[in-house]
Amino acid sequence: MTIPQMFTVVLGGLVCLASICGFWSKRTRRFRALVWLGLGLAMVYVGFRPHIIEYLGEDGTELRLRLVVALLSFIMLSVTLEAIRVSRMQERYAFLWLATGMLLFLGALSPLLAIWGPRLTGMSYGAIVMVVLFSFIIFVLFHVSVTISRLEANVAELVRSLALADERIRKLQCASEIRVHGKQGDQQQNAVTPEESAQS
Amino acid sequence: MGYCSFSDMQLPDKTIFLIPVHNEEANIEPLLAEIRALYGSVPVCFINDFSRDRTCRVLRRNHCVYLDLSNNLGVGGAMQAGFRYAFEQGYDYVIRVDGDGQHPPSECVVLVERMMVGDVDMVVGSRFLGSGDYRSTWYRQAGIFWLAWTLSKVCRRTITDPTSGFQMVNRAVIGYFAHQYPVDYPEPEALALLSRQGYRFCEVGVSFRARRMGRSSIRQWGTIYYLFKVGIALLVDRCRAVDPRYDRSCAEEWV
Repeated sequence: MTIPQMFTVVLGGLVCLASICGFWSKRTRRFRALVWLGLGLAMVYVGFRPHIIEYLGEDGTELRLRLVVALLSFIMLSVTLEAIRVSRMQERYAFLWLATGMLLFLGALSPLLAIWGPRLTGMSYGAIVMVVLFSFIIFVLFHVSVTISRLEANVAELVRSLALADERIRKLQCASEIRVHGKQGDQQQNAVTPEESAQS
Repeated sequence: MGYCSFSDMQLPDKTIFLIPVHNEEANIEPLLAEIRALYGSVPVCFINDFSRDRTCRVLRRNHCVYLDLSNNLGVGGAMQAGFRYAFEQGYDYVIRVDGDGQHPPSECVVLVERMMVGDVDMVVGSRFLGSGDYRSTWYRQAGIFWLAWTLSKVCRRTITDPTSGFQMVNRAVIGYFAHQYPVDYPEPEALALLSRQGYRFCEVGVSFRARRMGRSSIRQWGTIYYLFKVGIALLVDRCRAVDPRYDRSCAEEWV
């Protein structure tokens, strides 16, 4: 057993231990603890049986590419779901993200899609991933433009309402000032006249 | 009807001047004085489109009625605010005059005269029908010519000055514009919309003046954007269905 192997095994064991401890003391949620546990176990396994990496290397680029795409799309999916969960993102804006993430994730995992996709379209797997991602970016930008236009119209409407309300307040203020001053004048006049009448 | 002869410059009852201003501190007082001298105490409403100079202070000092927009909405957004004000306050006619002093208030008489003849909802003052010789840069002239040609085709009638903001509209159009008005560079698109919704308008010749102070909000690159934006808008409006809520026949209930 070489030193890097030992290091990987020890590190994986520590990760497993930390995830279990975190879950036990209820500081980590179940899902995260499971993910970390899986990662730790995988590290331990790779440390003991490093030929898996060699096998992946022998198999050529496509499998590794699929693994990378699966990992990235999984991160994309989980980040999107997390954003929805803590209500930072509305579902309709998340739709495109989820759809693309699911497509890439399933395409990377299922052998059927990964084999038939290239055969049907005549492109390699990597090219298909690029096409999907690129059209996703175009769609997202389009969606953002539409949304910005709508928001801008809403803001303009709000500004107009605000300006009209502001003008109304100014008018009311002016009218009330006139009324108050007018009343004071009346009161003074009224105050004078009874005294005068009393004196007389 | 409080509408008399034109010799003493009387305007019809319930007429309001709407004046969009953006950084026009030097032009407001002369313009206001001119209107007051000609038409007495006719209501005037300024729309201050988020000016960065002392426009707001000048308006307050002169005890003007004004709408103070808290963001820059452009002429279209500002004018829509003005039209909404006129609509809510129950005015029958709006005369729009630009705040830069290009539109001489004395020429309003021509617009009023045409409006009083009836059979139109909007009168536009055209600087190319009038006697005044209006000069501008060549690219702006070309742009106006192109727009006039396109708009004439879209509206199926001759329009000589599509970018003129010197207009008088009646209650029906006030109601329509209060609910729907194009965003930036609104004048050509507004004409197309009116013709699409079945409102009637016509042009009369007026003479414009040169700007007193400041500079036009539309500069060289702005002209290109203007043509692009308005061209697209005209095309799209033409393809859009007539909005039944704001049709000319529905406008009768606002009157």
